[in-house]
Amino acid sequence: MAHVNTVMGAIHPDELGPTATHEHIVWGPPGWEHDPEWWFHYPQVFAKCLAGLVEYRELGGRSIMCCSGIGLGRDVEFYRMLSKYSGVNIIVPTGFWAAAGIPNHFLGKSIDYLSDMFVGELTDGIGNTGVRPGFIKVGIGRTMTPGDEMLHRAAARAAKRAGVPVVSHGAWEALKVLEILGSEGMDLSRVIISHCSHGGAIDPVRDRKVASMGAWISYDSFTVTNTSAVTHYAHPDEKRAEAVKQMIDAGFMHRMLLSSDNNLFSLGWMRSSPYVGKATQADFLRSTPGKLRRIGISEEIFWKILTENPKQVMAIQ
Amino acid sequence: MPHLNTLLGTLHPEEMGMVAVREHILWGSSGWEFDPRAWPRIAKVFEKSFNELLDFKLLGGQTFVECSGIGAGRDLDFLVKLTAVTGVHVVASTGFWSDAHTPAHFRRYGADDFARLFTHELTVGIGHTRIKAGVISVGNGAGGMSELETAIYRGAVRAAKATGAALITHGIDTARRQIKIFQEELLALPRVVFGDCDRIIDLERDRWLAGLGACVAYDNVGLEAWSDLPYAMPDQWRAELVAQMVASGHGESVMLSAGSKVANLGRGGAHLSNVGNLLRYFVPELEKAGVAQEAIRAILVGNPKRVLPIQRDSAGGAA
Amino acid sequence: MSEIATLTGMIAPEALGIVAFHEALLFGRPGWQHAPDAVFDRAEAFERILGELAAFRKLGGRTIVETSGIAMGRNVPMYRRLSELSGVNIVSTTGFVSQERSIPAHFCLIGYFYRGHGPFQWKRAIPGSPAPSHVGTKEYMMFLFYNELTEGMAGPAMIRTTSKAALVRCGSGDAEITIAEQQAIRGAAMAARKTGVPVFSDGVSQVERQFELLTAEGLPPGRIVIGHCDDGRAVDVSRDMKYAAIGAWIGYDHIGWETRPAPHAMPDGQRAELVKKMVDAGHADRVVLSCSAIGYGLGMPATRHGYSHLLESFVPRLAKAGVGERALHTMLVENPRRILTPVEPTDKDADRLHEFAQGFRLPMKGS
Repeated sequence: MAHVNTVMGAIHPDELGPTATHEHIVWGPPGWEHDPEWWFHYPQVFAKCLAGLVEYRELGGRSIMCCSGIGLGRDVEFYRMLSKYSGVNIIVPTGFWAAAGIPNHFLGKSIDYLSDMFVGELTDGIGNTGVRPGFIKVGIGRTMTPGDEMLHRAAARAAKRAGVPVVSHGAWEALKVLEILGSEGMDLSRVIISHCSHGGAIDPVRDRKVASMGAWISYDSFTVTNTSAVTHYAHPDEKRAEAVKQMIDAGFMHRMLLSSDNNLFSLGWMRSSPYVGKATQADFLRSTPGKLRRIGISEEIFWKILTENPKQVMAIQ
Repeated sequence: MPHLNTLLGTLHPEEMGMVAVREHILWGSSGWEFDPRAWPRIAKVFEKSFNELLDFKLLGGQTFVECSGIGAGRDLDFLVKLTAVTGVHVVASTGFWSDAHTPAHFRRYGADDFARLFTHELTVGIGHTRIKAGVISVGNGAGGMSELETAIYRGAVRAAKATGAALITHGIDTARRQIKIFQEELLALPRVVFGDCDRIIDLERDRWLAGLGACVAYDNVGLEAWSDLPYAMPDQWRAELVAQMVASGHGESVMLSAGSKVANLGRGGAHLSNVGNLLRYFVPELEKAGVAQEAIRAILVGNPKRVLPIQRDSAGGAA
Repeated sequence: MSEIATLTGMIAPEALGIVAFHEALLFGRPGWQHAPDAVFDRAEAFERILGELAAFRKLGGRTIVETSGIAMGRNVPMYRRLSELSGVNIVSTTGFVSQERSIPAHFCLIGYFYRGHGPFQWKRAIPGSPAPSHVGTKEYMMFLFYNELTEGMAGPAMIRTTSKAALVRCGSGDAEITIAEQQAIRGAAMAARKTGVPVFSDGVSQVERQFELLTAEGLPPGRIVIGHCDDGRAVDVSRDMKYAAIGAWIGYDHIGWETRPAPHAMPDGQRAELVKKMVDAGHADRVVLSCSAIGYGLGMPATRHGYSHLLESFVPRLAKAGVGERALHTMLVENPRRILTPVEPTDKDADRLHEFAQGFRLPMKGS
């Protein structure tokens, strides 16, 4: 039966509700725990993340896909605590970010090893927690390296076996991503191309092409506008709203996902952001409808995209 | 090989260090989760637990046995995270405290059902996880042992025998009845810790239990400082009890703990005992009562190391 | 400052006794925790390593230098207890080896995420460096190592232990030295100069370049141990003699790794010949010996040989090959002692640096 795996167990796709599809509760490249420069007071981070999720829920959000992969901050027990006490469904991935962020142990492993590992987590649960991931996350660096390609192939093979969607951090090479996943026989309607609204990655022509091939376009950096902080993906939200409008006008409202790619806490980077001065998923729900309304997209459509589309792509068949 | 099941996996007995044998993080009677007034401000509770465990650790404590058991506030995710971010070895327990703390669902269970449940949690994992409980913790309420509690005790004994886990009991007023059950079920008493021995002071009883090979735990250390509970006796008395036990050669049978409850869910106000106080205030109190350094060390380190780990004999049965 | 930091406290150099210079207790590549094929039974690991240490001690061994470095499974509280129980001194290490095997992505993603913006940018900027902050620089690595050498090594659960490292490890892959490895190598040399501890380098196919980098930072050859000189793929006794002649130390430290599939495997007989040649050429006072034994593998198998292989099998083999008592004593006792005894720091800035390296605490709301 169609279902979605959350950290608290499987739920019916209709239970998802408004879902931010590309977020991070915590995220950081592996290894920060060895670096005392970046250690933090754990209870405070817990309090901050919990408050962020509670606020998200109060503003209408019901589910969050945390795209932090293996070794990149995904922390099942932590997320279960957050989910239990905030009431937000949290969906975690198996998989990694780009090859540049793979934990050393997995360097040099074969495609089969990786895909078996992904399937293992998707069927038996993560580690000893018994919690099953809801999708597979892979990515590319600035370009598609051979390592990134391997990751994508492993993801496609695992996704086919387990019936889950693949999220690719790969807008910059979207067509290549689709080509690789397609060549592994993956159904492209289970593929989400993330970060299509990052500064430097906005390309409406590509988006329409990707959508017409059946894959999902994810505009997932709303609220990330501070170019002094993250220059390579900050961008004015107005430009992103514009892209959304173009897609809707081209008839691709049903191939589009919206999100904000915020970390509630950053592990091992972004020194000044952890406790102050950064947007959250709640800010995304607060500010984005206005940005869209200004160019003629009603709030109703915003919530519809947030509710209906994730339900389709996330359901594990 | 003897080992302690902590929430992060196995631990060698030699790594246990100083142990608090009976503490609680979240603690509420069955059904607390349906009472909004009992809901904890979980971020605060986490911070408080974190601080108390680090306090304990800085004073030299290394292992913390969480005795809440099933349904009474044992929150696995919370405990796993807590042990991972403090570096204190936290042990979860399986079992039910008493009639009042046993959720209605389990009231139809018999002794063997309980044994199966406890064994599963000790050998396979708690709930849907493969994270194992480390000890069995059961008890009875005031006023004797009810039928359900008897079944729980019997189930606990059978699980202890099947797995080699230690058994901690709470409900010292039924000590004789408990001994009878253990003898009927053929449980070796050296794997049993009688908790709450400082609720009803009775040195003769403690010596008798120790003489049978069981351990006695004085596990309400520091209660007097804030509580008006009838059994909140001064630490000085408790220290004298320990001194007398040691003097009569029963030092090998004594264990200590603070019985702290970081969050006392819906049970009328805060519980102010603190596991750190065990080492900060009570150990000096013991010294004042004339207990030798080595004896204190044996009580805090040696006895738990001997009793608490999972142990099987070479034939695979409980040691 | 002539005492040596072990996990159980500072000890006098004379107390080191017979030393195995390059061993591992727990050992795994960073990220092993997430691998489905990695099993970590801590109780079993403890028992097994304790057995190995006891066997080593029984044969007369007194000290083990644990050289896994920062990210390869090092568990300071566990090692400390093992040391207490076994009576074997354990000297531990900061630093990294090759990027592929041991430097996690966090330390490699130079400038990609690490933008020192906001109020902290100016605090740690390196004068003259184009980088907006010190992250992604050799100085960053130096701070990391320096703190572990002077304050204590990072333990699990974001807690800095009180046990200090006593040497710095650095290394590289076989084909090239990556940017992160360069930073780690230079940072190791800088930290070593500021504290007086030695550097242990490996990746012997890049030895020349590594040696260049280390000495370019002002580290004298006498503070450099070139490890893995008995790597079966890169045996070269004339190279070893060349470095020995200029005062560097030569590590024959893969004793017991005799069979494939380990790519660096080589029969112990050939190793014994190598050592014999060095001794005959008068370089006994430049050689250290060890087994690179792994006590418990995390996501990889442990070695078949233990720490005791050195004294049980290899030393008798050397004796049979004609290496004298005196030379053996030099290699097993005197050399390690001379290497590990800290020298006077050659970087006079150390005091000021100490303040700087303390770092700053995050300003936290409500604290």
